[in-house]
Amino acid sequence: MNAHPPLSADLAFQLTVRLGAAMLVVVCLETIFSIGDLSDAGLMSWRIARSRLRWMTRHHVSRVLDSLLKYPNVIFLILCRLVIGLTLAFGVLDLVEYPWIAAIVLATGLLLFARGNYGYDGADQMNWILFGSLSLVSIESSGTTRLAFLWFIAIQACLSYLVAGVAKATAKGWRDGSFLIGIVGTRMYGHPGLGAILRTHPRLSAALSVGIISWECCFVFVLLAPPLLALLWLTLGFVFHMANAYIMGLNTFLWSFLSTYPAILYCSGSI
Amino acid sequence: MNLDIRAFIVVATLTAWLLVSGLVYIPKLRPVIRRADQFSLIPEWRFFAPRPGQHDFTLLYRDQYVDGYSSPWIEIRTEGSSRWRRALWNPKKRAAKALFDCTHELGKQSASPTCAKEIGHAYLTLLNHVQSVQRLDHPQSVQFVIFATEGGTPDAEPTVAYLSSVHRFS
Repeated sequence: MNAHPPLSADLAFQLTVRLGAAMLVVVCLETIFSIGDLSDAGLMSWRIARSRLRWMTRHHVSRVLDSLLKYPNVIFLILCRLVIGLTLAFGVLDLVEYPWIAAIVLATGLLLFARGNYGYDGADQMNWILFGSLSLVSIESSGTTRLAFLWFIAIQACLSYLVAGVAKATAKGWRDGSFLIGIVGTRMYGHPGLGAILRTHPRLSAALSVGIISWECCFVFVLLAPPLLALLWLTLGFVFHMANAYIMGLNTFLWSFLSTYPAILYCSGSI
Repeated sequence: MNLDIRAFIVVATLTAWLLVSGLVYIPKLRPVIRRADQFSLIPEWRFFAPRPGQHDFTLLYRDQYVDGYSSPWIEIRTEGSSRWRRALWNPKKRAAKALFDCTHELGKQSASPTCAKEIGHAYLTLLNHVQSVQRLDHPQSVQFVIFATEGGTPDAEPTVAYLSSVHRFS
C-alpha cells in the first residue's frame, strides 16, 4: 500500500480533462468529415429519429429539437463541441471551472444521442460520464469535489474492465478463443492476416482470450497496487487499446480510456 | 448556498451515480434503471461480451419499375481505410456501427409481426437510407436486403440476415 501518489491531484485532473477533450475533438472532426451520415439520407437521419421516443414528439419539444437537430443545423452543435474540446485540450484549463463549459458538452452530447442512438459505443459512454461528472464538479470546484471526480472516474473505469472481463469469463466462446476468431475475422472489427493466423492456431486464440479475460478481471486491483506496478498495468492497458485501435479500428476507445488512466494512477497511489 | 453544502451535493451525486452504475447489473433492478435512463448515463460495460457480434453486414437494394423489371442488387458500400490510418482516424466506423445496430435491432424483433417491424426505427432508418440513394431514373419501388458474412468462416457464402418488403416511392 502506498499513500504517495506518483502524480498530484491537480495534474491527474488536468490530464484526465485534456485527454477526454482530445477524444471529443477526434469524434467531432470524424463526424464533420462524414457529415452525410447525419443528413436526411444518412443512417443517422433526424427525419426518421425525430419520432423514435414519445416525449420527442410533443409539440413544443419537437419544435425545439427540430431547430437544434435537423440537418444542417446539427452542424452548429458539433462545431460548439469541437471548439470547447479544442479549448480544453490545448487551452486554458481553468475554463472547466465555469459550470456551463462541461455542461454544454454534456447537453449537446445527450441531444446528439437523442437524435439517434445508432453508431455509439463504449468510448462515447465513457466520455459522457467524464463530462457529466465534470459538469457537476464545476458547480463547486474545490479540492474535495475534484478528488471525488478522480475517484469517480477511476472506479467507473475499473468497473468497466471488471464487468467486461467477468462477462467474457462466463462465455465458453471467449474461454476457448472461438469468439476472438470470429471477431478478428470480420471486416468491420478484424484484420485478415491476424484472422487467418488465429483460425489456423486456435490454441493461440484461446491463450489470447484467456489473457484478455484475466487482465480485465484483475484490472480493479490496480487501485491497490504500488505505483510502479500500477504504471505497468496501465501501460498494458495502453498497449491493449492501441492494438484494438489498429486491429479493430476502435481509435476513440484509446483516447476515452486513456483519459481515465491519470485518475486511476492518482487513486492507486492514494490508498 | 454554502460552499460546503454545494460540495456535499456534488460528492453525493457522484456517489449515487456510481452506486446505480453497480446496481444496474442486478437482474431485478436492470429494467427499472434502464427505463428511467433515457440518455444512457448509467453505463453497461460489455466490450463484446458475453456474446460478441461476429458478422459483417452488407446492405443492398434493388429497384423495381413500372414494367415489372427489377434491377440487380446494388451494394451500398462503406469506404474502408488502411489499418494504420483507421487506428488514428476512422470517420466511417459510426455508419458501419449504425448498420450493425439496425440489423441487430431487426433481429431482436424477429418474433414481431412484419407490420410492427416495418414501423420500427431500425427498419425505417434503412428504408429511408436506400430510398435516398441518388438515382438517374425513377423506379416505382425499392426493396433492401442485409447479407451477413461470418467472421470465423469468411470463405462461406453470405446469408440473408434480413429481407424487406417492397416499398413504393411516394
